[in-house]
Amino acid sequence: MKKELKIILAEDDEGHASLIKRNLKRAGLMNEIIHFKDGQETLDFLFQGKKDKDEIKNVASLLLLDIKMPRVDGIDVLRKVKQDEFLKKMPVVMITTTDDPREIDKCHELGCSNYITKPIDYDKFVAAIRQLGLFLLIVEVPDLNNMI
Amino acid sequence: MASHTNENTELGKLKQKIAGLEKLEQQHKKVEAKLKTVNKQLQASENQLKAYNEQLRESEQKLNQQKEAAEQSREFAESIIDTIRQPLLVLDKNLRVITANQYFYKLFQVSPESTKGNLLYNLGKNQWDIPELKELLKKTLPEFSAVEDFEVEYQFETIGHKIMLLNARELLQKQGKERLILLAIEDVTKSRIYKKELERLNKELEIKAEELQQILYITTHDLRSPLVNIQGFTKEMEASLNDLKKLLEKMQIHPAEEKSLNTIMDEEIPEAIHYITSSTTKMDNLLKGLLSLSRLGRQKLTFRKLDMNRLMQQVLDDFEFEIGKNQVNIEVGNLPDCMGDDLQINQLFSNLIGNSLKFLKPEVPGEIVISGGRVENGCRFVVKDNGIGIPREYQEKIFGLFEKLDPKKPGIGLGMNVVKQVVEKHNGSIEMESELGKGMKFSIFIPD
Repeated sequence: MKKELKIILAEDDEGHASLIKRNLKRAGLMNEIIHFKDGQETLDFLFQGKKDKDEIKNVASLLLLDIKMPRVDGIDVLRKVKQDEFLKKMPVVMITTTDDPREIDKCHELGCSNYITKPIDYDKFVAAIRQLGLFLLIVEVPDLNNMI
Repeated sequence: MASHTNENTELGKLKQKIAGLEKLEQQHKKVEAKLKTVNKQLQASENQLKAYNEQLRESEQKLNQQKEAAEQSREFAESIIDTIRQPLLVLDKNLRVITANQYFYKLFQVSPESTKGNLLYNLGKNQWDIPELKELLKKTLPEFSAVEDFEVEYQFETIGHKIMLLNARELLQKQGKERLILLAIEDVTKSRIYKKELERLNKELEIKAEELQQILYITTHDLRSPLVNIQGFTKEMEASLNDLKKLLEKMQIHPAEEKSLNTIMDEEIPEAIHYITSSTTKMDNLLKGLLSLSRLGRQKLTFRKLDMNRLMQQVLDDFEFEIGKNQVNIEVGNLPDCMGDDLQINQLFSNLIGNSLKFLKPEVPGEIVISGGRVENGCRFVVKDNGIGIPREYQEKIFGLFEKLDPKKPGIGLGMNVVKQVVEKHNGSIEMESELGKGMKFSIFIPD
């Protein structure tokens, strides 16, 4: 994994965000995590003006998306990211409390890279995030800078 | 000689006279015989005449009886027509009213005097001057000789808005007579209003049911979210507690305080953590059940042919851990393909097998036998176990919502209700046979 990889976390529940951050760190990921509290904030950041887009271009990014968020939900963000010429190669991992098989199918159809349900059982939760961490440690995140 | 000649002449004359008399007598006899015959004929004629007369009288009597019967029939028919709570009109070929029944006068608030003999269109302030009706009676009816359920919606001046179904029929008349038209009018205004209201209420009910499903889904989902935090941070706190313990061990603590510190660190906080964790787990199970229930209600089914051998293997794979742990012997026969929704049929068998696994007898090796076959118009599947079974008095309850047979067992009493709902959504049926201590047998029919 490239050193510069930034993790963009869209999660409206601050507790969940904190638990995800803690466990990613414990799994050995020391990357910077940028946290947004809803889909709109996330989209604003990803689709900001052309000038600032360089900021995203310069670092490889990975998106962790919660599905249920106020205003714009995770599925909308996923759809917009995958429709964008520039952002569509960014890996997107859905992390959500929903384990509805059809919701999962929908995310896969829209092109998410991975789907993790947040189990209430914290041991399982930790294991899931740890696995995500391991996945992130070995995954090749495309350098968005070279894509234009 | 002369006298002799005279004598001869006289004799001849006499003889002639006698001959004439004889002839006359003969003639008289003939006439008499004829007279007799005529008399006889006359008598016969008289007799016949008498007989004719008798017949005539009988015929007249019959005619009178028939006339009476006809009168009775007419009265009978008229009283029936008058009793019918549907307006009826008889019209001539020019659409002039010949007669109408009581209910016609009542419904349209017109009198017999102002009705009979008048043109239909002129009745009651021209209120019957309805273009569609004209078209029906003048064009359609002569062509087809009967028209049924012709709907007319009209705003009457006197009786307001009406929706009517018209049935018209040409009455068969003997040749030479003009045609008559029987017009029956059915007032369906009220039933139409009720029907519309019923449809509206049904739609409202559907929307409400959908809303309810949505609310159930959102609330259960939203309720699970805080549980992730409660459970997560409780575990975090537990970890912090262990760190704290290690730090405290290195510190010098007064023996008097050490005892109460140990009580707090080793008993009170762990107990609190235990109850928070187990309660959130319990609540999570409840919410999970509700979620799957709401999912069942919201899901649109997609029916297709299912490879049941494959589906059953998937279901059993999910139970691999439990089956291995309890060393349960699973026997699966060759299953027929069936029509159904993939996810729901999967859920159905998951719940049944999960149920069997949950209620095995601890003292004997568990056994679950799954079989299936084609039956008329569908498939029948049987899931049988050698578990603890359930007493007869509880058997009706097991498909109910939140019915738990054993409060000590995990679960919230939704599994069997889900099974029932899935079967119902597939228009199938499920039967259960069980006896306490002798295991359970579920037989499921899924139609094609």
